[in-house]
Amino acid sequence: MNLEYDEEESALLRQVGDLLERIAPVPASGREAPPAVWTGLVDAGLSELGASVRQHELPLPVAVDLSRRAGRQLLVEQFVSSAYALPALSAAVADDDARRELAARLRARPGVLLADGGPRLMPVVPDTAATGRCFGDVPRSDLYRIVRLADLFVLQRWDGATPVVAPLAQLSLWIAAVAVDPARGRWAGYPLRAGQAAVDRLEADVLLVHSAAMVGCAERLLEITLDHVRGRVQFGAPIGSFQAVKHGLADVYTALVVAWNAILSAAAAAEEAAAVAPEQEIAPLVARVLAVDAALSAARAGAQFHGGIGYTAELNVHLFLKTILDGAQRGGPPCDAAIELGRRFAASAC
Amino acid sequence: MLTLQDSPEEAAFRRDIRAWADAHLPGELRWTEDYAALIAVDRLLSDAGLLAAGWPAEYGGRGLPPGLVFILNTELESLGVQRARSPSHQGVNNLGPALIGHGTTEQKQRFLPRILDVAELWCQGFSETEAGSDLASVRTTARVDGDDFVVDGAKIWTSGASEADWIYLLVRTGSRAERHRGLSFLVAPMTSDGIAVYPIEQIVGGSDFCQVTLDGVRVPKANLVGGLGQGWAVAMTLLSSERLSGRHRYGLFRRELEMLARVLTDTAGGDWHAAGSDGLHRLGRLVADIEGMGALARRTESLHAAGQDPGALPSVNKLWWPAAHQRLAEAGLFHASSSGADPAYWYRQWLATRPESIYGGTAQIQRNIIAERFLGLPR
Repeated sequence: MNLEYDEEESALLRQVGDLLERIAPVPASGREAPPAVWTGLVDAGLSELGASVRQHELPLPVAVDLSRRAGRQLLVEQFVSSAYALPALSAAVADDDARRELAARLRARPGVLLADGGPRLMPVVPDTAATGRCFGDVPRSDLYRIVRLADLFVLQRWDGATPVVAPLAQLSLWIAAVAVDPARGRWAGYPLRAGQAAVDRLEADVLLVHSAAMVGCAERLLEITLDHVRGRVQFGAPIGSFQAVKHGLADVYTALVVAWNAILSAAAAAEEAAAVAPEQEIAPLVARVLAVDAALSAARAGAQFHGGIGYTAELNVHLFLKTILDGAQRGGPPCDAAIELGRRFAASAC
Repeated sequence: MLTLQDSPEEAAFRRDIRAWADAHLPGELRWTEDYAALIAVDRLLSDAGLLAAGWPAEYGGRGLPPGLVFILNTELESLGVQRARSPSHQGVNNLGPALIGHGTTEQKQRFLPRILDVAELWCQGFSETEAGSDLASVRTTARVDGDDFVVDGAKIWTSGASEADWIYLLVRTGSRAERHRGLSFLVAPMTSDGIAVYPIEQIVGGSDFCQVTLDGVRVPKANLVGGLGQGWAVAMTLLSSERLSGRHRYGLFRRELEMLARVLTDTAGGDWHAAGSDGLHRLGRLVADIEGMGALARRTESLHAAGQDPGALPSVNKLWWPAAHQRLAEAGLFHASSSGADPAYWYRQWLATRPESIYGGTAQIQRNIIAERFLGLPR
């Protein structure tokens, strides 16, 4: 057993972390999501992470730490959808020319997947689906969906009139309702060389990569909150010296440490889990439940311990709150993952 | 490369442990809580050289590296050997490492072999009525008189004091103003004149822990461990071992999760498909909590094996697993109680899990450690 990165991996992770900090700096304040960073990610060679993992060029345990570092820069949905899930799917496109064409499109413009509100991060939707919630930098992305035609999984890209995009509550940074008019375009298809097991495997990996990004985002918010409570003085002392505050943040830290280590264990196991069917695995769901819980606890504590100033756009706290809130909704409500985990455990234990 | 797989050496060792248990560990000794049976298990482990396998070979251990000790403990736990309940626990896991780190050659030669042979059992004399979490305010004194220390005071929450042959003590040899710098670490036989043991009735019945009074107890100077005024360093070595020990209980917690899953299934007429989503939700969250504990344990061992500092992980672990176990016991109780299953086991466990977030440094102390030492928050 070894859960430590070697020197080469550690150096790569540090280098990419620094790069992400430059490509996607976290704004200190403001109402808007960070500016589009896709070109920067493409130029840095970070836009095809999912394909690299699928082609065994990059181990999944390294990919999850890259994603964690992306999460620190608020790149949760965009990174996971555009740099991981869609490139991984594109690597599975059966036809060589179509695969190359899709890869080029994905480099040119990020993509989002049409979602159905169900428990999967990469849902397979009916071929009649024209509306759904999408997660990512939706207004600046192409729209994709996964459908199943007989025994064939097909990735489809909307090729037609610009979809109608409505951010959730007009406030969400990364969730939008999307609708296309089927009369004003068509879905261009990329048949996949992937059966149910391969699609399930990919889903499990995306679940881990997304969970890692959530943890990274929450860790950054915890650091910002710690800075605040060290400096904010009330009753003649930094509020971070009060046990109510200290203990609340120690609990957030603890939850994040546990979640990260569950992700690391699950990623290492996934590399070696060929004998276990993805639908029976519990490790990715364990990581998911812990990561979402920990991230939400960081969001609650971040909002609470910043006091009134955290409720304003003068700080960047709300960007983290919204990114975490949006990410927690991906793949259905958080309780769905716990229910599925309970079901799988009960099935194996009874 | 990150991997969870055993090396060939680890896989062979794991097989050896299972084979040993198959051959030598009868069913009635597994998952037992009977004291005589627990002693019998310790003796079997001792005979097989498995009781303190992580101790260096020069002190009678097998000098196993941390990775193999982890495999040994987790395998034994999953086979029903609850190391936390071992009567030898205080000697093997707490005093032993402290003596190896701080004891004199004579002390090691005198005490370590008898811990290994289960010939002498130990108990801990740290807490006092006025010194619980604030251990540095210990009031029990030890004054020098000729070749002896004379110890006066009282210790409390001393588990196993009624059965123990020896006690290790944190005592004040300096002034109270010196706080932890005025403390020393002594060991004394429980048969010493002036030692009296008063069992304390516990909320789960029985009286495993006790108050121990020390009235003019003479302890030879040779029984001072770590030098005069060095007691705090010895105690911290000991407590760091204690904080990590709970992670091996993963085997028990997995077993209890399976019991809970069966309660849910039975409630649903034997078909887990029909179990309600509330129950499955609760089960799933508990599975995540316990598996999260397993992930922490693996990472701690991985860091240990790589020679890296585990940082906050011991405190994170000690904060996490008791809370998870307490939630598990509560879920078991209420699901068993409402389903018509026998809730007796869970009722006892709800009560029995209370001290888990108190001993070895309370949850509040762990939060302080995490906040002040690792998050840089002001005292």
